[in-house]
Amino acid sequence: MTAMLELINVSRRFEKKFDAVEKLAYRLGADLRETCVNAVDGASFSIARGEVVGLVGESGCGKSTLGRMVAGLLPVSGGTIRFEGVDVTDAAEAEARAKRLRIQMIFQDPMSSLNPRMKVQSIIGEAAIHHGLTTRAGMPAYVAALMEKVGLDPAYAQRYPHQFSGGQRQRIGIARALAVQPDFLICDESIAALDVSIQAQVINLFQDLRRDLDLTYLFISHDLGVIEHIADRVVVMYLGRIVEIAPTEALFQDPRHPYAQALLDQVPRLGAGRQAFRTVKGEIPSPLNPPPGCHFHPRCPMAGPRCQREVPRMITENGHGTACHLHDGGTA
Amino acid sequence: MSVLDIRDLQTHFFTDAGVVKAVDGVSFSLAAGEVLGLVGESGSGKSVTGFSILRLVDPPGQVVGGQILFQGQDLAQLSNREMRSLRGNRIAMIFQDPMMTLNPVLRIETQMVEAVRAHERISHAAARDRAITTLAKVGIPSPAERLAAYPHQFSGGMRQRVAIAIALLNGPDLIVADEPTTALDVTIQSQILAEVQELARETGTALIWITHDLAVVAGLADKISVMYAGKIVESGPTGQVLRAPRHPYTAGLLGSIPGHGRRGERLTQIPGMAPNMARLPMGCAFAPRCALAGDLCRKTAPGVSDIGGGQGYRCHYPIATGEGVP
Repeated sequence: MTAMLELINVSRRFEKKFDAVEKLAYRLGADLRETCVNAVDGASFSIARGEVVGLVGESGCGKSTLGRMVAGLLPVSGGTIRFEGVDVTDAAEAEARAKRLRIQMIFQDPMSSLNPRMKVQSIIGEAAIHHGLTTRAGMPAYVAALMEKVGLDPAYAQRYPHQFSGGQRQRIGIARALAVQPDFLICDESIAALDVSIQAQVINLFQDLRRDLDLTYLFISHDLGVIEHIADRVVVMYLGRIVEIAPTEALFQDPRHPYAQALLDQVPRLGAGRQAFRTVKGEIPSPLNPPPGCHFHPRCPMAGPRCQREVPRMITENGHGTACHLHDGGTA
Repeated sequence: MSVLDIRDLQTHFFTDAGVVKAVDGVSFSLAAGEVLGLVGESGSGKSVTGFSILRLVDPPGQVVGGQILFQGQDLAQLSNREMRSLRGNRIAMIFQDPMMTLNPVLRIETQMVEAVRAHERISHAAARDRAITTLAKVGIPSPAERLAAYPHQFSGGMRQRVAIAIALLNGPDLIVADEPTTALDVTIQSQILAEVQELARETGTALIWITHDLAVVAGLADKISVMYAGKIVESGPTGQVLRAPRHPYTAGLLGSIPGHGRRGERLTQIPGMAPNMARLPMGCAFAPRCALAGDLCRKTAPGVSDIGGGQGYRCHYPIATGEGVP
């Protein structure tokens, strides 16, 4: 199976350079350093056509940054992103730009990603006209078909975003993404802000669209229940690095990285009865100053001396990859 | 004796669009050490119920009916001054966003010492000692040093712990927690749930945990009440309600939760969306979204059917036990 999307060692650094005052202070001998955050550090994985890959992790782990790089909204600091074999890392050439168009993104908060002063019809139809997928005359019918597809009444095409409920606004965001006929959707916490019953409606919509339009998804979420439901494979990130990649069932039955184990262990579950909540100690360290070696070692119950020295490699067996010294010769 | 006994609480908002009955006839009681999960979607009235207990409902909202008996005493009869001496002392509240409730320009020490000395004649040093002990109890490392910090110097999880510590300072009999872990990461949420669970057990504090997440209360609460459009539509012991929900809305909510070994299947969804609270339909408010609704549902609002064992529901055509989720 050839990969539709391939990430090779993709990294993103955010640097804060000295401003004028700090430069002066530095010259005068102040103990200052330019700060640098490795938001995503050497991420490599691939997604096959028709697959749904879930990307999970806690806040600040770099999952949204990764999604934005794949969508082309953020330049990468290092590494390569290939889409259908074409390098789209910096989309300068026409071919790369055409490929990029087929990757679309759906955001978490539809209220801040929909222009409040535009009517729904223009929000959904504008990009399609620009890219020549429909004409100005054909646009209303084109938009109506899209609205129907995502479960919105086409009669509402002349309304503004604020006249819709949260769930409906998310559907507008989905229709806008679908308007340029993409093959690949990145959903960044796209259902996190919705109520449970509305969330279920939108998850079902994603499943239906996948079937009808033959879509491939990168589904970013902190909600493991959602990921378990929708994803074929799961990528787990911690503090900028991928710690585990596995088929969904394998991950939920047999998580190998201690962080993935802890994460799965702590999801509140229905039907578990009264739970004794177990906890990983500590908090996520600051990405400004991450621990050396394996980023998880200060919180890891199994950490050994090697974890403090050496960054673990990704070891893959039968499609189940883990970046942990426990699976690579021990922690001593 | 129950710590809290709410009978037929009515909180209405008098808006230009009409009277919104945000809380419309809510009743429940809570014994010492008991944890109640109050579950509902946005706009169901769960938070307003919490605010009503502390008499924190602002105009145009008003508690217009019912009784809130706290240790046998009707809170509506108290003067503002008496109410103030209860708040933060015998009844405490934890809010969703600690950044909104902690004062950003005061050190944690100032805020905590103030909270103790507002209710007790006690020296600054003694109040400070109590603050340190309470911070340690909620799992804040090196509490004595952290007292000098400002709220923005804490992470989100730590800030919520500080808020919880402030709620615990005076050893309250009742804590109302409004979505306190919703904004937090999974590992932090589970740390806080573990601590709260232990505290309720140790100190006998009764707890109302307001949330939209059924999975959280499944592991935490002794009993749950499910709210829809201002009414409790189903309540009972947690295990019983989650295993055999009788109200179609509860069953729908349970079916909407992804995960739990039903990978790739369609989720049972509740069609439509939450009703406009200013223009509720006649009869049962859930009827327009309900698959089981009949003519009766569209005419008359169902009363509470008590089926024993503490479980009750408001529905004309409840799901038969053993039928499971439709």
